[in-house]
Amino acid sequence: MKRPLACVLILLTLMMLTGCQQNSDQLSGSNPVTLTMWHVYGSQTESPLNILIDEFNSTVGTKNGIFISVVSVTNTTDIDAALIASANNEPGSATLPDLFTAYPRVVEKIGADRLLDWSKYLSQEEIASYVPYFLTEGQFGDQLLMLPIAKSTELCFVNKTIFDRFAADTGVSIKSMVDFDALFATCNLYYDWSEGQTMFQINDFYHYFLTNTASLGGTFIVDGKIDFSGDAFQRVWSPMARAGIYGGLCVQDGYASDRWKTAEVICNVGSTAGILYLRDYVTYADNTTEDIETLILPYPAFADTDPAVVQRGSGLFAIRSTDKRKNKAAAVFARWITGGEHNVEFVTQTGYLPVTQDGFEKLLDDTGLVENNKYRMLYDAVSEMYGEYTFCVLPRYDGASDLQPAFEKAVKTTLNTAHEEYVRRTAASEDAETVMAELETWARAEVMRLMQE
Amino acid sequence: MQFRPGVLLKMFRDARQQSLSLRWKLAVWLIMLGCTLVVLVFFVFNLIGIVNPIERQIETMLFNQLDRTVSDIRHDTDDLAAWGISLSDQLSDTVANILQERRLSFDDLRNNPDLLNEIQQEAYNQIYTHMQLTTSSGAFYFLDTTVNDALPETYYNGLYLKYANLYAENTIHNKPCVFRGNSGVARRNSINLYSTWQLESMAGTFPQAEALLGAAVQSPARGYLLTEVYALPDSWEYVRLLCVPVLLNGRTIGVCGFEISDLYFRLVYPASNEQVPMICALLTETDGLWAGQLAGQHASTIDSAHVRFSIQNHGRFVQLSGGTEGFIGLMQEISVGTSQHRVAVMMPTRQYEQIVRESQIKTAAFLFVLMLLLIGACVFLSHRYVNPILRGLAQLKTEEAERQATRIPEIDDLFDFLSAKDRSHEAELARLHMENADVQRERERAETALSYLHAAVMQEVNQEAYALFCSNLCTLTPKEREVFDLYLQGRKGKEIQEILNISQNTLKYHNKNIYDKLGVSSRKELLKYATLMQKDAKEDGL
Repeated sequence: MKRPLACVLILLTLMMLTGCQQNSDQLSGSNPVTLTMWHVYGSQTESPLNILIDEFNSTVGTKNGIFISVVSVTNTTDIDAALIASANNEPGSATLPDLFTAYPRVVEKIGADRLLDWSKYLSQEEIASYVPYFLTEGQFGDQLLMLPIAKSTELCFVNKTIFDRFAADTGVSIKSMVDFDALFATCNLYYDWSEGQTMFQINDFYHYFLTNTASLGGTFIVDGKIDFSGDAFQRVWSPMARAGIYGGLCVQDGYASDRWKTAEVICNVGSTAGILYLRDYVTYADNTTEDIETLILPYPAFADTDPAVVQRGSGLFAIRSTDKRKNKAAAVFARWITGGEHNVEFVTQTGYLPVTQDGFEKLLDDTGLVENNKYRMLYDAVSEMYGEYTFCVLPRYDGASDLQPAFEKAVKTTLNTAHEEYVRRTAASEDAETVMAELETWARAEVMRLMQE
Repeated sequence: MQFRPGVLLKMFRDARQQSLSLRWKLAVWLIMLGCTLVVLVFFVFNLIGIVNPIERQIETMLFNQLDRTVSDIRHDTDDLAAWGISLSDQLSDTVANILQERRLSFDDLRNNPDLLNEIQQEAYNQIYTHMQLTTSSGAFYFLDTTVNDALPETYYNGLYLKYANLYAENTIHNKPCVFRGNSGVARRNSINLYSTWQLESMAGTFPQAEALLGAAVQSPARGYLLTEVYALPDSWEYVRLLCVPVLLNGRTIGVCGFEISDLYFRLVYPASNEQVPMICALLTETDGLWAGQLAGQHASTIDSAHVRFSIQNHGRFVQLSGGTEGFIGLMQEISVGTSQHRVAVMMPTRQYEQIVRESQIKTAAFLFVLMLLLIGACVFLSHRYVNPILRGLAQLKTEEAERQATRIPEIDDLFDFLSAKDRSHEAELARLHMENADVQRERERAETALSYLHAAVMQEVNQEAYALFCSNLCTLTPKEREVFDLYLQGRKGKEIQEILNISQNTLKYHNKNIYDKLGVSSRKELLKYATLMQKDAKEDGL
């Protein structure tokens, strides 16, 4: 009788002692874990992702003791620089966040060994629910370091209100927006019509060359370097460079959405996510405003080619922590934010594409699900492109993260210089076509030189 | 079942009255001693502060956090004010120089976009440099003028820069963007426009800042203030502005200063405590209610932009009620220039109560476990202590030869003592046996002698006189019989007088009657017949 009693007492004591101690590896509502996050969805506008994160924090987060604290909302360019500086512990850099969204190019700079392998925290079934094609960007060897959260492609956005005025005066058709040759020619017409205003901006020249070279059957990147020698490159380069030198194509720094606000460009090709920043009015220098109508068209292409367009998207990364609870918490959040319902809700508010197979098919099969007219137009354009376009993923190679901005800068700087030279020399009554031909050749050589430095 | 003190006392008394074994008595005493010691230790620890109630610990944590946050905010706002005054002076000089070069007055800037853009371009570096030097999320200036006063709404021209990204620290990787100002300034300085950029600031966006434009101020240092929290139009951000008047020839021509956004406040004043979900707040009163910016892990779950707190004293804490839940905390007033605010450090009442409850449960569990261990230890110790004693005592029942040493000196001494006693008793018994045998022998010898004597006396006695004696014995009066019996018991005449309380003459009178009735002439003869009669009676009885 005495022994069982003693056993019960010992057991009771042990239970009470162990009950007082938290299991350090388990998520618990009473012992919350905070994950800091940098993301790129929304910038300073009302961020749909922030709203979803608030919903997560107040529901699943509260239950599991996970709190996502957004400490920076930025853009894909700035986040790269900040992440790389933080990862290298550079003076003046901020502390690395626990979660961040970025393009896969940062892996090379941050180091794969510092990042969480999602495949260890998600089941095979969960991983299989993503569009397989979208997972490839985040796959590094046998590790899944980037989880697709939203994907984008590129489209053509037109300030229809001002374009219609321009078209009414010049007889230009909106159809010129679907063919690059016609589009660049229209840029120059607009430059003349508007007395020196740029009409069109390409948000990413690297993407322009990559997709259009591919559509012409060429290859833009060969052995980790730009191939300037092919006919396809020249075919893509020439009309673009001429528009830049003439002035119709904007070759200055800055996002197209900034110039869209002030009507300094009325058309651009860029990410579907840019729709969040393309407002429905423009502001002029005297602080007057004008409401505008936005037209969204498929990505333009060169005539008689197999059109191609970039398909990309920043994904969700997590810094691998020695605190196992943080890793588990990151996986819970990733599962929630990329889950069907939340993912569709998020992407349709930001102009992105869903990453799960169910969500993707559901949205493109019935764009009527999207309530906002402007956003519905966007998904109609994307839907139109599916089946006709080849979707390209950015190639991964050593030095890709440096080459891309370097090429962007080289093209803009060179064409900007060429444009100023063209204006100066034609003002001095030199033959416009001769000057244009000279500057186009010089500009190409200059870009090649800059890229070889 | 309820245990009242009286019932417990009775049970204790009953237990005391019942005989408890040595083992349980020792266990009970040990338990009582242990419990007393535990209570005493807790009492002393509590008295000298080693063990603190959780409420006091929380109060200390909140107090320390409040002290730190007040100190930080006071330092940062002083710093912002100093840099704001510096910025105000520089802007005054910039505007004055541009106007002086063109021999224009400040009023000539109205509807003059080129000149206003030139001022913005000149002021850009001043604004950006001051922004980098301060604990702020943005910097700005607005002048009391506009590029177009024909518009239906009133606007203020100026430059408002914000960081595109926010971190807890202002880093060199933090790029600014133009929130309000000329887009050309952004282009020239290679920065972007804020996504909800506007050319000028519309009147009514920052009422407290705009109120400074019309105020009479002697110097920037006398007129600065920290505004309440405003929503940035078309943005998810809420901000406070530290505003310093910009003076030109004694006239307030504009306002400059710095922005502290909600997010930045949260990053800069992290109320980090893993045990207690603390929230730091900088609150400003509006219409009797308090609102402001909140920082701390739990702060993000509160709609800080819209929640308005009412404040009441609540014991050692203040109670803040607002939104969907209540808070308890500590507050301290703080003034920034001409504005009054309060710094609060608080935590949700629900979680405070939960922490207190958990602490109480843990303490009770700890005490319960301690008590279980104590009881177990006492029972174990009493068993260990008493068992050898009991085994030793059990050996008392065994033969001395079979006894073993108990390793308890006291019991071994007891055994030695008892053995010595036994031996002494046995010797005494043997002596008594021998004495008894001697007495028996003496008795037998005496009885034999008495028999011989009886036979001799019987031969000497006159049988007729003896028969008369025996037959007349019944004629004695009761008093005479008493005297006769006392003689038989061997009493002397004096003793008989005292026992019967009679005089000597009375005794002589009774003696004479007895002698006459029994036919004897002396007491010697009387005793001789009486002895014979007793002897005969004894023999007859056998």
